[in-house]
Amino acid sequence: MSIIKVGNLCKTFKVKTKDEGLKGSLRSIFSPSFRDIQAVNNISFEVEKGEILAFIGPNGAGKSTTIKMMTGILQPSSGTIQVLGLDPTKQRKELSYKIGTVFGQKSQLWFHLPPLDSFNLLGSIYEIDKVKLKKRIDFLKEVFEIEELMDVPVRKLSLGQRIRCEIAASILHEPEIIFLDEPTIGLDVVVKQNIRELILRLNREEKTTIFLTSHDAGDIEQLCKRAIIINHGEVVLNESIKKLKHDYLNKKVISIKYNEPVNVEKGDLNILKHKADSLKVQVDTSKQDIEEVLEKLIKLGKVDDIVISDPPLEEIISFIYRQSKEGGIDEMV
Amino acid sequence: MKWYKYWQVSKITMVNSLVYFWNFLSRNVFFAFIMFVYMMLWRTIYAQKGTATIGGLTFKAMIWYLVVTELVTLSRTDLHNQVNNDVKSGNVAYLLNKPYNYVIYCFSYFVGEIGITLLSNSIIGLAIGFIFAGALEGFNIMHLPFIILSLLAGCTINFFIYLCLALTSFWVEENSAFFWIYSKLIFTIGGMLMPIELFPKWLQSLSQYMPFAYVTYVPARLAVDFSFMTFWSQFSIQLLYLGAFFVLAMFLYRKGVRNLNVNGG
Repeated sequence: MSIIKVGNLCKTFKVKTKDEGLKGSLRSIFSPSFRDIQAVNNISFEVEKGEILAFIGPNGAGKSTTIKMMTGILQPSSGTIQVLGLDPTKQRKELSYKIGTVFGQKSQLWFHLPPLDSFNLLGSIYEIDKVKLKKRIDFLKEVFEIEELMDVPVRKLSLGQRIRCEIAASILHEPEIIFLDEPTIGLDVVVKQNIRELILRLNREEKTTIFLTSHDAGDIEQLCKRAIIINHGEVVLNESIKKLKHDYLNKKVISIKYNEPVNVEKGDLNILKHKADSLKVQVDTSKQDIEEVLEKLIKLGKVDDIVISDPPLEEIISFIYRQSKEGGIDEMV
Repeated sequence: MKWYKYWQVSKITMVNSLVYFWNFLSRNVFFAFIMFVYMMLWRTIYAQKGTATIGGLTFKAMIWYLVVTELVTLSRTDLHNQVNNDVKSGNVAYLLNKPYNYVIYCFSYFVGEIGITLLSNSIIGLAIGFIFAGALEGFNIMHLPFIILSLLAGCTINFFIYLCLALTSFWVEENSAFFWIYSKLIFTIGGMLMPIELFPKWLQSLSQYMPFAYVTYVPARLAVDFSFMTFWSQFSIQLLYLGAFFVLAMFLYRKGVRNLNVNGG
């Protein structure tokens, strides 16, 4: 059952422009000029109940604008949105009781006060019964392991501790959908993992639908079953993670630092960079055996250091976008 | 339950305000300093004039009048700056996805903060008044609740005017001039610097039709020269202005939110 339905959604912003120099400044005082920016351009998609969906794209792709329209913060220029059967534009308040939001870079906790004060305030704002609120806070304290943080002013918390409290705060009212906008931004690997486990638990135990935006390929790989990729305000891919992984995340990058300069014969190697004693090679694991490639590379000389990495998500997205512009995406996926 | 949330906002703001205790205290030091300057100024004016009253006020009454006008002005919260910055930076978007009315949320915030500022400033104001001027002759303590009502109305009108000016940032890129002009209007035709009886007749009648006098002049004048007739007539006009600026703030907010232009995260 679809609980989010977005149809032909568009959002245009009017941005003031100014010509360069003094003349341009004077002209803009008496005759200001504006340019339309198409932040979201005719996107349509649906989200099923209980799904964890990755909504990804580079900066300025239109992700946050879409989330803001889905939560009723921004008015669409055209198109339709239905979230839990409600129209966010007209029923923002009603909808806010049923959804939760975490914007990684913005806080809903009071900076100088302990999280418990903010939790109690949010409980009142969402009109949660006092006994029920206490039970809910106790439950979240245990699940998010924030018991010992509850009486520490938010300004004294580490980023990881704050994000745990932020997510707990956003689900106090047991929302049916939670919008997570880059929840792991700036966190170290251990804390990131911890947050991912919490999100999975939330989805599994409370059946909460998760709408996630992230620049972190790890978040998407570990959490989501489906990804919608958006760029320049358009949906460029709406596919299962399994298929996305098969088609794009099978490319590994091997970076080797040798003890001395080496000579490489290209052969079947996809060399990205070669500089005397360092070499960067891309391996398509669906076509090549990574062990064989590694063996070949190690034989080239004495190895000082070796790193195997996934291509950055941004690279995959821009690759997908380039393909879609050239009209080749259908053939690729 | 619906209004309980706003009371909780006031309560948490009150708790949060205590974090800024030293900030309030430093404002109070400024309060004492400015009153000292006023006292020197008016002492010289009264001595030069050689009359017992100016604008119908004795020297003592004049000092108490200025204590009250300063009390209203210094008890102002800085919430308008926050609203202004939130609208300009687009942060307001993150405050809209909660089930509350933003204007009433801001008002609850103001109530929580004014509770602490007004209380601490009143204690200092009373101390300054008694030290610099002494007890006011003919003051009836029974009038105090009515004076407080007018003082609170003045502070609240001041808040809603500032909020309306802050909400113009939905349309105007740079609106700091509005705040500057407004504060200077309060300073002059609002009667903050001197009672409006000292102005030329035409300016006196003009200021009666403007909201500024109802922020500072009316509560201060009632404090030093109380009559029930003046109270009921002036307080009812204060309530009218309060209602008008509340409605204007709601209107500006509703209209502004529809215009909200927050591009990007």
